[in-house]
Order: sequence, then C-alpha cells, then structure tokens
Amino acid sequence: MRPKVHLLKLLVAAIVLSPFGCTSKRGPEFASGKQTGLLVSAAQELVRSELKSSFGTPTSLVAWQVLPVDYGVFEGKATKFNGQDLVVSLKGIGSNAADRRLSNLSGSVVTNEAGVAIGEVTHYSPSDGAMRLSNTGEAKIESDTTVRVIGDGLQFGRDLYLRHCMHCHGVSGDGDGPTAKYFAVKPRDYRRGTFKFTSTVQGVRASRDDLKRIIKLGIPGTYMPSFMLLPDDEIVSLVEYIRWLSMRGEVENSLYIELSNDFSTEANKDKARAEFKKEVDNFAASQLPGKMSEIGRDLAETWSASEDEANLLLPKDARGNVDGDSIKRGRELFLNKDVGCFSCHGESGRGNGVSTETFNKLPNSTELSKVPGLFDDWGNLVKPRDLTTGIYRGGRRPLDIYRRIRAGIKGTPMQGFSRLEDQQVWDLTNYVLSIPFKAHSESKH
Amino acid sequence: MNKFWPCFFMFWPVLAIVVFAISPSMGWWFPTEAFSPLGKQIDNLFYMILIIVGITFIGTHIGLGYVLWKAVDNKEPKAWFSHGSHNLEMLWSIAPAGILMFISLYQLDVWTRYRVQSKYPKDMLTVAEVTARQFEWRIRYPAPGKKLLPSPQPDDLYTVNDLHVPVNRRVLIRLKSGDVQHSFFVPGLRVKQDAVPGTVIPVWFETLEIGDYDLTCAELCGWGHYKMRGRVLAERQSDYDKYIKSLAHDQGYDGHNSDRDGSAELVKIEKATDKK
Ligand SMILES: [Cu+2]
Repeated sequence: MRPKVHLLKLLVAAIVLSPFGCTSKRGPEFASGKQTGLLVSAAQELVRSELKSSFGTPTSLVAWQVLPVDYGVFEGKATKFNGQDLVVSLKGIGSNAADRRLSNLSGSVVTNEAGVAIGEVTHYSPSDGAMRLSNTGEAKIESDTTVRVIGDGLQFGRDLYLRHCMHCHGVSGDGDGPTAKYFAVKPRDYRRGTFKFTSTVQGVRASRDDLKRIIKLGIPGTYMPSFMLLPDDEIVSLVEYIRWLSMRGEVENSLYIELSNDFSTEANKDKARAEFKKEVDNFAASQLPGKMSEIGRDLAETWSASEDEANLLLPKDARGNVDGDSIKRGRELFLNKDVGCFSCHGESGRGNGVSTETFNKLPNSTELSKVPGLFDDWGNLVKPRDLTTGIYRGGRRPLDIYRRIRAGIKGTPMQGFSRLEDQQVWDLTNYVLSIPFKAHSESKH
Repeated sequence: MNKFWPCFFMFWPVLAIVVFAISPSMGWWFPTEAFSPLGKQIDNLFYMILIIVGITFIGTHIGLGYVLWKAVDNKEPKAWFSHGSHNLEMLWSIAPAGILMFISLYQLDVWTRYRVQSKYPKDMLTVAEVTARQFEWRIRYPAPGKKLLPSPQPDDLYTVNDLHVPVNRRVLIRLKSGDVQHSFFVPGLRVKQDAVPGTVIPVWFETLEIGDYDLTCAELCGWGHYKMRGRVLAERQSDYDKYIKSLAHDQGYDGHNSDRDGSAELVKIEKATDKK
C-alpha cells in the first residue's frame, strides 16, 4: 500500500504546483550590451539609468521626441481635466484603422499644448472620451487646448515584436533571443544600426522600405522567414519599433565610447570605488545632458538621411540587353584584379576565393583575425556568397544585385564599387545572375 | 440507485441522437465547407463513416442499456455463459470485417483521383513549384506563357507564402522540401500532403470559388512550425495572368524603368477581388 500513498501525494503536489510553473515570472527586460559591462559599476549604473529614462523598459516605453521615429500620435481637444481624469475628443477616430490603433493606447503619454508630459493613459473609453491618467505630475491642461497622445504605434510594434521577432532577435534587439543559439547564420544584432541589405547609397542606413521588404520577403538562405501575410499596419509598426531598438543600442554604444576613456575597468584597476562614484556623478551633472542631446541629434540626422530620396540608389543607365557579350564583359570584370570579385567569391563564384583562407584584418581594427576567413562588423565569420546556388539573400531582382555591387552589403567585407561605370555594374549583374545556370550546364557535361 | 447504470448508459445514445439532429443547423462539422470538388467527395466519405459509427454507437449502447435495465430485477443467480459461442464469434467478426471492406472499396475511387499519379486528371495546369523550408513556403512560377520546368530557369518568378491559382481550374503544384519534412495543408480545399526531403510530389486541386484559403504546415517541423502561415489565393484567370505579369515586371525591375512609380519597390499583397 505504501507506494500508492506516495503516488497520491505526488499527484496532489503536481496539481497544486502546476499553476506556478518552473519559469521565472519576470517580464521582458532590456539587457545591457557587452561593452557596458566593461565599465566600472558606477558608470554602468549611469548608462542603465540614462537608457531607462530615454527609452524606458519593454513594459513601459518612453518616446524620446528627438529621434526620427513615428511613435504614433493622436491629437485632440481637452475639455476637462481634474489632475487624473481627462475628457478629450481625439481627432480622426471612428475609422476602422483608428479604432484598431485605440486598442494600443494604454501606456501612451499625454502631453499638453506646451509639449509637457502630463501622464500616462491607463484607460480610455472612446464613446465619451473619458481618459484616466496615471503618473501625473504638477503640470496642467487648460480646457479647450490641444493635447497629444503619443506612443500607440510603438506599443503596437513592441507587442508584435515580442510575438514574432523576439525569440530570435532578443528583447533588446541583440540577436540573442532564446532560439538564436540553434542557427549557423546569426540573427541580426540591431544595436549597431547597421542592416545589410539596403536600397540606399554607400554609407547610408537602411530605409523604412528596406526593412519592410525584408520583413515581407524574408531572407532566403537564412532563418529569417517571410512575414508576407502580416497586414501592412503591423509591418509599419514593427519597422518603427526595430528602428527604435537600433537607436537605443546606438545610444548605449555612444555612451560607452564617451565613458570608456575615464571609466573602463581595464584602465582603472587600482582606483578606489568611492572615487568613481563622485567622478561619474560629476560627469552626469555637467556633461551628460549636453552629450545626450548631441547623440540624439546625430541619430536623427543619420536615420533621416536614409529616408532622403537623394540617397536612394538608382542606376543612371538602364540594364539594357542581357546577352552573351554583356555576360562575357561581366565575367572579365569579375576576374579583373582591380575589381577583385574573385578574391572572395572565387573564380567560379563558389564563394571559395583566396581571402577565405588568409588571415584578414578584422573590421574597424588593425588586428588580424585569429582564424582565416572574412569577418563582418558583428564579429561573425562570414562566407562570401556562393553565387552558383541561385539564392540571393537581399533579393534577386537585377536592381537588388546592382545595389549589392554598387553600395555593398553594409557591415560586411562586401564593399561597394563606386568607381565602376553603370554599364559595368550591369555587366557584372548579368554575369552574376547567369552563374547558377552556367554551373548547372557545366556539371551536366 | 439500481437504475443508475442503465440510465447512465442510455444517456449517451440519446445525447448522440440529439447532437446528430441539431449539428447540421449549428454548423458543427468541419470549420468550413469544402471549396473543391474532391474536397466535397472527401467530406462525403467522412459523413459516410460518421453515419456508420453513429448507428453502431447508438445501437450498441441502446442494447447495453436495455440489457442492464432488464438485469435490475433479475433474481436468477446464474449467468448465461456465452464464451466460445461459434455463431456469436462468427457474427461479430464478419460484420465489422464486412463494414471495413465496404469502406475500403468505397473510398478507392476518391483516393485514386487524389493520390495515384497515373489517374490524375489530364487537363491540368502546372502552376508552380512549392518548396517548404523552415519556416516558410518558397514558390517558383514559370515566366508568363511558359511551362514550369523541373530545374530553375533564368526567367522563373519567385515569391513566398502566397500561392496564386486560377479559380475553377485543375491546378498542380510540385511540392518539395528544402530541409526537413513539412506538410502542405489547405483545410478549406481538403488538401494535405507531406513534403518529403529528396522527393518532388505533385499535388493537384481545384478551387470552386474565388477567395483566399489558409495554407499551414501540418507536420511539426521545428520550433518555428507555427510560423509557416501562407495562403492559396484563387482568382479569375484574368487576375491570375495579371498577377504573374506583375511578378515578372517586379523581377525584371532595374530601377530605371520609365514607369517607375514606387510600386515595384515594395511587394504588394492584393486582396481577393471577391470574398468567399
Ligand atoms: Cu513546416
């Protein structure tokens, strides 16, 4: 009879404990980057608190107005405000699209006419315009003035990101989510602000449309799947959230660069802890605000540049006829020493060029790599594309190949070729697109 | 209390009869009706099996309830020992065997049309090659006016997760897998076929109505299995031709076309013209 009693106990225990589960109950959190960990603890604290005040936490986002991010804004007229309850008539509601947006309103920030934050929305009822606010301060809203409710788009993007992207790209966009460890090709770490496949000229970031295209089409040959069937407004919100996460990562990196001279653990092994605290506090009080607005301005500039029509890379000349001559000229360019495609992609385009076997300089460094091969800005060993497979990660349109050759693949050893004539780039494009079929017919004979 | 068990066992056949009676009006069957001719035949097979098991279930339970009811007042101390009765054994072996034999013969026709390649309809349009991979459906169409060839051609058209087919036409796809085993499942058309690495499996179907039909993966293929959401969009022949043409235009796009209006820069998802 004994074992039975034990079994029963076990069963009861299992039933009682099952609602608690085994995993921790903590919500999503933004992890600190590796570089931040290289700072002394007081400086680490500063980076964290600064990021928290400019970007918030995954559950309580902050919309830093300096950044060129479309956070989603509703404008409206305030009719009554008693310090906590606001009656407001929002503009443009009543349409399906707006009603869908309203469901993401809770958590948004309300600002008054002067742009001062009044509080956060905790509840809103569209029928009578009654809005309940939390975290309210001293600031006032006069009747009949304009208020803005900011952030529904970012929150919608966040929700979608956590559902569709987080498990690979990580909560903070570091490319290290729970499923990332299963991949040979690492998920993108957004925090450098670099995205590989863009329609923009050399040195310019990815545009919104580039991110949209990647989300819709996926990246063939990698684990990035297609989200073709997500509704357009969801993709738009996702893109904004991903851009915002990138900017957050860049702010962290900029702060690290700013602080690393004076406060890296490496350089300050024999200094007392208390001293740092004072110096860091000093820095925070005197220099940080100015530094942050500088960082914000720089980000606004670089990210706005990618939306600039002038930075969209379009060929001056049309592709023209795709004939044997063009392909032959492309092949010659491919093997040309000054152009040098073959040194990475190999003479037959199999991605086995000589630089995959030599020790090369690491990106942004003067050091040589410890293993032979080519490395991207994220420190991953990358293989030059095997052009015989017919798989093109950044798209297979002639224009896509043109852009890869002309502007390069950002953040990788594939540099753009700005010196070539348009027609030469087209010849190369035509040759590259012909390789899979040539390889195929060769293997047959 | 003596009558509890007879009542208990009688309750279930009564419930079954009630459910059978009301379910047609409540829509308690497949999530949607079948939108393909073969799908309707497959549904009929399911209905037939349902009728057989329904009658069997109700009959045996009423029998069981009846016997229990009679036994409540039975004071006979000795039971009737039926074990080893040759006639009874024959009866309950032959009857189910006959029913199973009937089902297997009855469904042969549908099965053959659905799965036996030599019996596939002759007038089929091979629309595309569909390659399942972790975790999406990569689709390769032939260029407008051309036939799909087994190996990729320079003018082939590529897309992902969005399979367009002309409505009211028998179409065939060539199903492949890029990595592990997947399953091409379109519930609305009653199509389900595993994609097996190393093989090319022809799958045919015909849509009866314009509309989009969910495409899912029905073989647990990895952690992102649930991400393999696609759709089969059945449209008018003219819309289908237009779609293939727009794909061809997009694929040949060199950024210099005089008709550059930005539309070729982004993939557009068109809505079905008429919803089913
Ligand atoms: Cu699958």
